[in-house]
Amino acid sequence: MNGQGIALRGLAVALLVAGPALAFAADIEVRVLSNRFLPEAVSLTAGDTLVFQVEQGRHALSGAAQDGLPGLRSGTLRPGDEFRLTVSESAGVYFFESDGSADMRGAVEVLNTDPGFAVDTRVSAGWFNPAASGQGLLFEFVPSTGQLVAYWFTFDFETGEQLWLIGVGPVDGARAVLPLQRAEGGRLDDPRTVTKPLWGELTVDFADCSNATVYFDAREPQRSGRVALERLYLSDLCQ
Amino acid sequence: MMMQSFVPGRPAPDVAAIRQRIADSDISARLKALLDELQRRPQQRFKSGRRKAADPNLIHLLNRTSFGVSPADQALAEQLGFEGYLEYQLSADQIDNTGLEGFLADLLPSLAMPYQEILDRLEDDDFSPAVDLIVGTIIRQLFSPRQLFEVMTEFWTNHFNVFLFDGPVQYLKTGDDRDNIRPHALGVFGDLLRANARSPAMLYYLDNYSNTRFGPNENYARELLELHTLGVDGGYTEFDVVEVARCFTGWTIDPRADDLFAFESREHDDEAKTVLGVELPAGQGIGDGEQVLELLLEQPATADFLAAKLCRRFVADEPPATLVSAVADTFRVSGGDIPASLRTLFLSPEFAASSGQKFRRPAELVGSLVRNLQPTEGSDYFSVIFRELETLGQLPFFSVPPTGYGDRQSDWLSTNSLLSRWNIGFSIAYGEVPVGTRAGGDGEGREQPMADYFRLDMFELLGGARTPAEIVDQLVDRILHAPVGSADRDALARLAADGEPSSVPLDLSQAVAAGRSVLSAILASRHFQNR
Repeated sequence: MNGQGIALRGLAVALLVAGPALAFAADIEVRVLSNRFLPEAVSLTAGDTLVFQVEQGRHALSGAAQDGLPGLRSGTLRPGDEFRLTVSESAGVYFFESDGSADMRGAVEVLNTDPGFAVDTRVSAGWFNPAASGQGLLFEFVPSTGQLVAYWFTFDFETGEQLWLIGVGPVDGARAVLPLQRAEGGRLDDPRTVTKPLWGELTVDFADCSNATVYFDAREPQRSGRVALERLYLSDLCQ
Repeated sequence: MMMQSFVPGRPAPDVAAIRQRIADSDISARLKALLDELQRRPQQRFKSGRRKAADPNLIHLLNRTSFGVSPADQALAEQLGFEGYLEYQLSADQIDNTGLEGFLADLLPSLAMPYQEILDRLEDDDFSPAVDLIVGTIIRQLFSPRQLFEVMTEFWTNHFNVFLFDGPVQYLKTGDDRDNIRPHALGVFGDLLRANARSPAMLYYLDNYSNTRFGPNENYARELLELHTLGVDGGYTEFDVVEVARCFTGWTIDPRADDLFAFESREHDDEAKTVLGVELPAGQGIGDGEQVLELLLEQPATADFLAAKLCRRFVADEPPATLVSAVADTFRVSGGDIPASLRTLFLSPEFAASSGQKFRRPAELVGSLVRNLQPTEGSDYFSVIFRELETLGQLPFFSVPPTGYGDRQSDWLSTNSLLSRWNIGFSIAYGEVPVGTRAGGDGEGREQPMADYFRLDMFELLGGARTPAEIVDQLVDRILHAPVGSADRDALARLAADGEPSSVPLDLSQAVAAGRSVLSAILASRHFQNR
């Protein structure tokens, strides 16, 4: 059994995974109908057990091996059969399918419950996407307020003109959600007030103090997406 | 009357019987196998913030020249460009359609049967060419790569409408569709008109088979002028109707003829006539009717009437007069060339400015759901398609009056119809919504959810989108191919976010649930109900 991910056993056999997660382990039922899984997507935590209950049709459940995980192979199941699958400690999304119907897919997402990284001053640095050099973000964590300040130096989606976005928002663990404003109307060292209309919203998820993902929602033009970031310089190693 | 010798006593099946026949057949399973072979579904990849915006003009063209924009057609159109894709669709006979037509020939052999063979098999209990024709037509509309051809086939079928279950029309329409409509749907209008005048289905439906010098019947003559050529304001008089009817006396049905058409000279009024001020000399026989058709084809009113009708179908309920005039000019100059007329229409600025102005008729709504969403076909899949077209009121060949199905929003939009349209969208989006017992309608068994028949792969539709904003943008892009405006996008994002920020990634199960909610709202919105 591969300890990184999903552990499998045959009919009516559950694999108990040692560890603290067992204290909260739950059975989560997935109904197997003639042409679909219900629910089609399940989010759970390590230690939980998926219980496939076959109600209609004949199915051989399978899941391609990925990330070092063994493939899922249930053998042929018939109505009334049950197949149990206990997940071990690994975050990620895994797809499974049945040969009982074309394109019959389901997915299980193993949520990461490890509190892991918490935002602090270690994230205060320049960040960028190495695949899109020449633009990026500056993050600054303010310990006294528990807030994250973000400066995004980038370019407009459509015109390509330089775009400077500013946001401030509270931190919750490894995540911060910030409204983003667009600085407009200024001149170099000009005392006139810069206007800052709302541009959209930014969520920053820090994996650690070297890797993060930002998810943006631009209101005008309507655009959403995400950017994987790396810390631009590493003068201070994370501990 | 020659006709009486083969009018069968067999009653027309009612809709419930047709529905049951489809449910009891293996159409759904065989169609599923065909689609598995023909259209491997492209994986929808989520491209963060860098999706190439669809060309709105191209999407507009696709929306108007098809029964729904499929991802494959969109990709092809993007490759060929606006004019390239238009020319591709106008040259329908150059588009490889052998896979689908081979399937139909095997599944529905009556589609290829000559009239005589159909007549010979009328006593067979399991033989129903009318049901085969309905099924074949729906399948072609949904899955043929010759989409503009199918749109035009439906247009001319409607223009020369006959009600399929008006007596023997149920046995005659197969040949009419195959031999009279389809060969000329993207050809020359005159050929359509001439073929239609000899069509046994039309001869029966508008009673010309019984139009004789001993007992004139003006039904065909009246509709020929009012609906097929000049239009109600086309400048003809009641006298012209009477005279045209005299010209077509003796045009009837003969079961001994290969095409079932016969001209019975003994029943023809061979005296002189006057039509639209033109004198037709005595003794012309069948030449009277033939001359009338040519006379009508030459009339400017015919070009005006057809141009207005084409513009109403493809541009707006009340099309701009400038465009109607331009299309009519092309029609006249080209001798009724349909592709030339359509080229003028689709390349016009008036067409370009008309995006979103047409209400999807039921066939286009159901077609869009199937072609755009590309559901995985469950058992009895085809039955649901049939039933939804029935519910919304546009089964092929079911329009009873000679006017055919309407082409204006007011013909289709009512409180009840909109509720039905929303229900279809909701049931498809949410999947588990019960949609009755067996789609075949046997009235027994458990309530089955839509997903039993028509299942969406939400992972593919979402394409990896996980934040509410991503989910909205992904589905708007995939389903509508065009922005919906800030207010509507914000409303959809709020629906997806359920009180949370719009940029925070959701758990996968939440994302799928949010995707279904957003999808249902998009399908119910004016953005999807219009095209």
